[in-house]
Amino acid sequence: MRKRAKDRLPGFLLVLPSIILIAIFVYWLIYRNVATSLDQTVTRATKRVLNPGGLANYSKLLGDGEYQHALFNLLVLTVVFVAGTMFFGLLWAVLLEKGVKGEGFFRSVYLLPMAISFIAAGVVWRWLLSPGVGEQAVGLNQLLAMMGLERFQNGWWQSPTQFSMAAMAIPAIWQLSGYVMALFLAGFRGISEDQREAARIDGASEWQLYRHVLFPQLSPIALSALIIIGHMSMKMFDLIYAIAGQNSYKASVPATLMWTQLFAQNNPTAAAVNATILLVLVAIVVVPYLIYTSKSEKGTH
Amino acid sequence: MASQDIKGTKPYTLLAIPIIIWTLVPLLWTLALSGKSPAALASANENTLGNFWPKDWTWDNYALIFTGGASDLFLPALRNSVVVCLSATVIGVILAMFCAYAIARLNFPGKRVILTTALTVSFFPVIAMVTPLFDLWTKIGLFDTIPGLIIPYLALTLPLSIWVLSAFFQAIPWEMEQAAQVDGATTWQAFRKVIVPLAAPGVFTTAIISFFIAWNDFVFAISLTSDKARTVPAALAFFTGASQFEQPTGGIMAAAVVVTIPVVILVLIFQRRIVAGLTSGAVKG
Repeated sequence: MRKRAKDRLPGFLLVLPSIILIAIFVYWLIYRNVATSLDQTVTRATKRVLNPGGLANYSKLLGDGEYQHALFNLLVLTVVFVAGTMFFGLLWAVLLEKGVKGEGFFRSVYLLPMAISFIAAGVVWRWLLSPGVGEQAVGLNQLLAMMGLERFQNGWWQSPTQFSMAAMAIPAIWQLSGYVMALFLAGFRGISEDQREAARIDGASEWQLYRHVLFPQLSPIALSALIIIGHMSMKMFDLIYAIAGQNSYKASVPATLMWTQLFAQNNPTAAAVNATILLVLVAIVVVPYLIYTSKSEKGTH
Repeated sequence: MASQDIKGTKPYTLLAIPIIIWTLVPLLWTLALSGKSPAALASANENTLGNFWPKDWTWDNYALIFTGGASDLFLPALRNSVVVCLSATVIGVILAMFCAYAIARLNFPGKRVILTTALTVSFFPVIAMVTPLFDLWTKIGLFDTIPGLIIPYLALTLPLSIWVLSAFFQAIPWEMEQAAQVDGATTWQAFRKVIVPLAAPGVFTTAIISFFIAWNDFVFAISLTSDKARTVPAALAFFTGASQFEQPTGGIMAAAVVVTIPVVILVLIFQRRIVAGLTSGAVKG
């Protein structure tokens, strides 16, 4: 018994620094955040109740029109962002998988946008997504005019529609399609050549080969990609800040609204409530996935 | 690949080219704007899609951020970025190496829990940590300091580093170390000559990925600094011209180019390794 404990000691000592760091600077901070979200606060000057305290803080934020608007924006952004990256990622992976000449070059270039910070990319996308139409058209609107598609010119994320956040997904799709492509490409490479040969010998067309043999085997990767992109969308902050500026109502999502609450409205309690809800939303998406992958991994070993 | 017959190759290559254009145009545009004079930036017909490359390339914007009026904002920010990101990467990778080595080699209970916890943490929205951290840092005087950024960057990169490095370390044939010792090598020689070369690619990849994360971070940079410890992504958001109304677009673009160049070079050189690292968590047969 003593010997076993001695065997384990080095292992524990090696993992200890990381565990302490993560325990304090992730879990303890999250605990502090949840604790702050339940505070009761009053405004300094007028003693008006700002946050009623306890769970009432949550119902207050959830009932707030500004927050609901941000939540709806997030939904629109996430749907378009996920659909776009999955579509382009898979399309590019199939293209490269079919044997494009100079594949390494194409793959590097497709991956480039991912490595660039949202802030640096946001600077140029703010310009590409300029709302000017007709004579004033620049960026994407001008591109549409050059293709004879003037009637599709619009204000992008500044359009007067509720779904304007869909335009904010364009730069996000630009940045992350390459990553989804890399995931799918790794998946294609994991499928043995024999299976393709067998399907071809059985007389399957290329489309049937993809539809019935290759795509079904990619579904675990598609799920991973879906979760990774989905949670990135929920955390999206930098890009919106860079394109729409700070405190924009039109382009607000919970993460940017949190910034406004914390620094512009000076209301850390509301910011903490907002952050906690965001954390729960991400957990609802990610935790079942993690349990699922850890189970299926146990099965294969 | 069996499908690489010459007849089938060409149409796919043609299809891949529009994607290259779509990917590169925003990057080239940034570069183009960084070389334009204020007059060219304001001119309507020098910023159209067919005509966006500067006619007379000027280095004025680069001079502005390196030696001119914006240098006292940009240069300290660049220095802060380098110091903070390198420190966080080195410390983080060393800690992750300890952790991944223990998980791959040693037997102790709770290994699986540590790995799963590490992965869960990397999904958490960092913005949920900003409020309490801002509060804590202002109280203990770490707000707007270099260590005040290194610590959150460690918390940000460590979980992913542990995950990626564990995947690499678990694939190393550790028996080779014993084989070398049987052949007469000392423990140290076996480690240095056999294990280090096998582990180095994984360590290197992990270092690049965590450097990227820290280098590109904006959330912590903007909320935990004011001017002394401000890094480049945060400084970009604070760039304004001589007056409030004059946006120094050229200068901002030049700064964006300068911070993007190291990242682009790293991606082009180490693309294969980065992909292997980033897909290790998500792609399992």
